Amino acid sequence: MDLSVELTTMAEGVTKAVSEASQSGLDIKNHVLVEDLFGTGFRVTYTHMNTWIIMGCLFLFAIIVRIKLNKFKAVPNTGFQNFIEAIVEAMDNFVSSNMGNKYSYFGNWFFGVFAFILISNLIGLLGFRAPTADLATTACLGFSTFFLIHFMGIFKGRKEYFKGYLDPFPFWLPMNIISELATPVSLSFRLFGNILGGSIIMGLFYTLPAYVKVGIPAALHIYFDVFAGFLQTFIFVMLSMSFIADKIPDETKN
Amino acid sequence: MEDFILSLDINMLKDLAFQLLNTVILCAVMSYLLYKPVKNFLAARRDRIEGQINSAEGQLKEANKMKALYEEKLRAIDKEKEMILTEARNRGAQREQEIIAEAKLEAETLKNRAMVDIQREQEKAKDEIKKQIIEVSSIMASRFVAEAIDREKQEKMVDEVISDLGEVKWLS
Repeated sequence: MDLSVELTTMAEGVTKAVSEASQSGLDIKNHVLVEDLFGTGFRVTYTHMNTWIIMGCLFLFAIIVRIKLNKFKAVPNTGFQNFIEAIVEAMDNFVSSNMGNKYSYFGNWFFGVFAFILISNLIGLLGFRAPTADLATTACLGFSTFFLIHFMGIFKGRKEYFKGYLDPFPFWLPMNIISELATPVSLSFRLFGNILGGSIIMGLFYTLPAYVKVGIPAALHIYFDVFAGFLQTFIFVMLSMSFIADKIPDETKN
Repeated sequence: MEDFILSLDINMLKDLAFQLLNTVILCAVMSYLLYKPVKNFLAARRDRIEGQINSAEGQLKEANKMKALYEEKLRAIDKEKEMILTEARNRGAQREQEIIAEAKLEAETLKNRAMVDIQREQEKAKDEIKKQIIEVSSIMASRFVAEAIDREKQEKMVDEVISDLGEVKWLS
């Protein structure tokens, strides 16, 4: 059977099961809000709307930081400055230790990605549908990692990059190509599956009788939204960095 | 309006492109407004602290050098002081010897002069005594003579003495 047909059948099955179960519970399905945005052929879904909400919050936060940055002291005297310094320094160290000091500029990309995935995963706590519970979002992130892997591979270590496809034996080439193609798929489906799984379980739990919905959902939210959200964000960014760093020759890293 | 959870069709690819645009904008703005300025701020602070530490180290080195220089100078001064003191002491000792010698000489001179004076006084006294003795004896003699001889004899004797004296004077 064709893979895409199989996946579609699977997806239809999940959709059917969830729609049946969530008649009385939390709505975890993605809704199309605008079919055709300004005649461009693009639709606007909950995913996009929530992404914009997240973007708006992050932009607001970034603007506040940018304004307050002028008042930052050499010796931090506010919790806000400490927090900002801590997150930026943590990300910088994270990138530097994974990719080498010379490529610490990847922090610019991964800082945004990290913030976006983290807030997306945590936004479920406020009753929003997580944008990362949509394959479009996670596939776009996986695709950007895939692009960066091969872009950096070709531009920084061309010889090693193409030789890498023939390791350990030349006839291993198809295997290597499949493994390269599997990277973004595994990255995006891991994040998507974890977050969607969490929201489906939460949605199903909310269909249960009222007396079990006291206190227990808090623990489930801590696990599925906070813990899994943090973990999956960390895993996604960490793996992306490792995959990109793998294609960069070691001698250029410091 | 359809609802869905996972749709693997052309719309999903469009959603993907839309999300890619969103993500790129988000990352660009976050990088421009937050990450890069804060990182630059941290880097500037690190550089400043590093500069301060380096300059402090340089100053410390400079100070140590100065200290060594001054210690060297102090040691030289000590040596010089020792030399000056020794010289002064030697000169003092020499002067002492000179003064003693001078004093001795002066004392000797004074002593000699005193001796001369004493001798002179002695002689003077002797003369005085002699004169006194003569006077007394002449008084005594005159008494005796006055008792013993008469006027004639006396005149005769005086004449004789005068004549003797006259002869002696003429002779000498």
